[in-house]
Amino acid sequence: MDELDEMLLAAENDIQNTQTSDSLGAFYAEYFGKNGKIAEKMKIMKDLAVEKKKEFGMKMNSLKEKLQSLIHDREVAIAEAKLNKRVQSTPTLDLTIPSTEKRGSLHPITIIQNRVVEIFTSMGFTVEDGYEIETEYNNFEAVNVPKNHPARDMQDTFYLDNGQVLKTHTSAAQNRIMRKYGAPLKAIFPGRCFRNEELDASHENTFFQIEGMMIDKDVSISNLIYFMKEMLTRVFGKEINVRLRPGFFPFVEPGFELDISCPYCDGEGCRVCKHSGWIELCPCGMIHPRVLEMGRINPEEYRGFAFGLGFSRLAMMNYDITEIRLLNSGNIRALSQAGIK
Amino acid sequence: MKVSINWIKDFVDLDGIDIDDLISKFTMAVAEVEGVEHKGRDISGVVTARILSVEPVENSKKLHLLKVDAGDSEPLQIVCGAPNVRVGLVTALAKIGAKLGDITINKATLAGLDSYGMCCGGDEIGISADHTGIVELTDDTKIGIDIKEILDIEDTIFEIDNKSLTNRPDLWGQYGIAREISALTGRPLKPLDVQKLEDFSNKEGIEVNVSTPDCYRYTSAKMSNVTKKTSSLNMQIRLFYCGMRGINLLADVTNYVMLELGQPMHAFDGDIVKKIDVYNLSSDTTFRTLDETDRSLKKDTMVISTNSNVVALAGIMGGENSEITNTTTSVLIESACFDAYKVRTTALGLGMRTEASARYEKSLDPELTLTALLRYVYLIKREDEGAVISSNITDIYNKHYDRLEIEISKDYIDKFIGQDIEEKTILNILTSLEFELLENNNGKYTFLVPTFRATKDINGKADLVEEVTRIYGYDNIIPQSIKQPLKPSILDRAVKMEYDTKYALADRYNLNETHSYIWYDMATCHALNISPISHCRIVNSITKENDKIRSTIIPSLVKVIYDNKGYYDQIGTFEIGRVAIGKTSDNLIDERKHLGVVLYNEKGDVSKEMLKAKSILEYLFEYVLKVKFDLIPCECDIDY
Repeated sequence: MDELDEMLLAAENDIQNTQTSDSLGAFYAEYFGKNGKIAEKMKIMKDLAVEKKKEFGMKMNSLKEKLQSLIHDREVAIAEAKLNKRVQSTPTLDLTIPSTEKRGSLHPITIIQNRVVEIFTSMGFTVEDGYEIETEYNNFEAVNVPKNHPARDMQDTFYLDNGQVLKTHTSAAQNRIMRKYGAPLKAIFPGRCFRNEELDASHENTFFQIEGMMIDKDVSISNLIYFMKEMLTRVFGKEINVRLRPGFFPFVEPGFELDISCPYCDGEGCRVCKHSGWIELCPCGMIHPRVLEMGRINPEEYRGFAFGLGFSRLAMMNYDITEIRLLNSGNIRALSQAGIK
Repeated sequence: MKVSINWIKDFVDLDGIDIDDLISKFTMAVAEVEGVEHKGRDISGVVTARILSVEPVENSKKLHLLKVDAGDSEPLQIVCGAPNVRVGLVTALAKIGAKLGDITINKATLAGLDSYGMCCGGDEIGISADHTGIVELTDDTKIGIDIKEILDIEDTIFEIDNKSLTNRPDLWGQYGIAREISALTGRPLKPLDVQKLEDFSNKEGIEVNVSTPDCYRYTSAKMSNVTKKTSSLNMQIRLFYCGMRGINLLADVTNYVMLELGQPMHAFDGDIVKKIDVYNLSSDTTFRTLDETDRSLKKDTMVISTNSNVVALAGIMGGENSEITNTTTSVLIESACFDAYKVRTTALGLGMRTEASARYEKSLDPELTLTALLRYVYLIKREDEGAVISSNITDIYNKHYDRLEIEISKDYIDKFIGQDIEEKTILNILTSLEFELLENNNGKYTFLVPTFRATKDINGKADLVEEVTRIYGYDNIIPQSIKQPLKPSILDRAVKMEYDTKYALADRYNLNETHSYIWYDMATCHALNISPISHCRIVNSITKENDKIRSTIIPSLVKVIYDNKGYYDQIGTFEIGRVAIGKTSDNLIDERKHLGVVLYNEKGDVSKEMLKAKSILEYLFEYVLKVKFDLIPCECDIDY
């Protein structure tokens, strides 16, 4: 056994006894450093005969490789031991695993409603509450839908055994609010509405709307367009263009269908807007003079506009929900995706 | 409703106008267009041709070998399977290379014989649904010309959403649509060609007795010596393109006038129906309508009778007993105005909404009946020159609508719209829609509303503003805020509290908000073996079982837990929803808003959940509602 074999044996022993990566580092410096043991040994080489030089060089190289490999293995072993020790000392905690705690959530409608309420209060509208069970008068007559009017065919109404109805639209609250506050008036009233129809992916018998009214002197069609554009721009969080088309609703004159520029493709045309660039969003119009009269507001002095916005529709667009039935399903796994804000 | 651009062109010159552009304008100014169809563009190479000879084909019962003159130097050999082939018949021939939609006509070999083209049925060139034989053209048709030179195969048809026409009885006919298009394009509306009134003189009138207030007007006359059996192909094409089909000349023209003017008409066989009684039935009866169905008519149904035999369901459909047949040569024409509600309830009650009833229920203008009758007679005489007017007109006109005048000023219109509109524009628009300017006193106008808009549609100033604005163009209005300052409003305390409560429950207590129906889900109630109190029920619910309005929200939330518990070992849900807790003294529902919270723990650790519930309550009372409270023990039998 020559000197080099001895040195390797000693080094092997030292490496196996090293317990930390710090001391392993020190060991590495001891051997491979500028003035380390290997450098020291290499100095001998220059005095050796030519044929010996070659032999020695090869031995040294082999030794260096061996040592480096041993040091590397030991390094890995130390790291593993360290991790094992850490894991053993804290057996249940791994912060990288997602927490299983169930989080609370608000219904998508609540979240949208809160956002819309904030927008309207900032524009001076008050927020009113209505009933879900209404009189026929408030639901129909007071908004200019007399008995025998074909418009009553258009909506399939749930009638109750005491003669009341489940309100078919938020407009049912118009009369009560006008009588309560008179003019001028700026109010929104969110609420749940009902239609007696079969359920499918896009039809629910129970759905949310929000209605808004602004009544003042000289309120104009131009004002209506302005407020709808402002409001919808804030709801969608991006510049929205609106356009009006004629639409017939008995409680407004003139009545409009309001289309918005598609917020998903900015009017370029996509699946959501059926490649038209526009989405039909909400009926609106100038409040019918008879509706004002029935609300004890003088239509010669005051004018106003009203609109109805489908919250269920808005929530579906916002959360990419394709099945309206999900909203009333009570399916917590799906509904909780909306979070709380 | 379907509109034919060819038909519109009878009344408004559309030369140089881009039709697609016009249709989109129509959507923005009048009513929603649901679809546009370009008819006949995919038909080419079809010519008129006369059959010169017809020979049977060996071993085939159906096929015939024809020699056909298609205007070429030599006759063409055609193998044809239609039963109505005959020598001398002029028909439509698709020559080799012709295109019929996706099909290109090539030389074909049938039963070993070469065929250099195809004789076409109406369905093959898209002008009818008829596949019983090949097209029959009149004998005097020029041979070898493109079929499109004589048949109006090319047309643009656009369909309007019927719902958007609910309040516009005047738009249920092509002529009314033409009037709108005239206003939109600024081109004049041509008058309708009708029979002159003086052609009905020195003859007997038909005896008409109207004894019901639901018949506003009944106009009738008689024609005889009508020998033509079918209407012209071009008339049939229009009927077909607009959703109807050719039946026979006398019936086709009633449909044609209805589609044109919106006025339903009926043609009775003049040999069977010679006098008319209009009344409401005094007792139940049965009646066979011309669609070969027996109908049970209730007392008070309005009918048309002759000699005590019911011959028509007023405003809905005629009877089989008096319909036009192949042997009919004289016709008694009905052009009447019936009460909208009466027709609607009868139609709904019998479950038979027809083209006629759909129009009557919109409140038609009674002034139309005479125009429609004169138009009918004019068209019959155009189609069959030998037809003779054989009676005077009988016109029973019992209910007139009031003449409607509206005063409005330029200032009112400007303020309503929110911008200044030139007087010339206002007056042009309204007069093009046939509002008659009776007076203009320095920007204060008096307009007479045309009768066809005065049955329910137009009532006051706001309606006139709509007319001006929609034709002026909603896109031309500049959006502006109101003059009054806008100050943020203070959020109502109850609204704020409701949201704060929900937020606390979701954010602080990790509960999930859900929504449920206002009625009890009876399947859940049965499963839980509970029968919760309900103070009212729905009388017409689609799901019969779930008709009870809830007085407590808890069963709804228990259902939510039940449906979700498979996925969680611990879960809590809440809802702020409506309940009906009873009735007030005037029999109205006492509706309240309730908060319900239901907590679930798979391990059945009830006391832990109860403590959590208590903690929630304490938090809500102290920090959200901000009220002092005490918890006291109570006796209650709630046991869900």
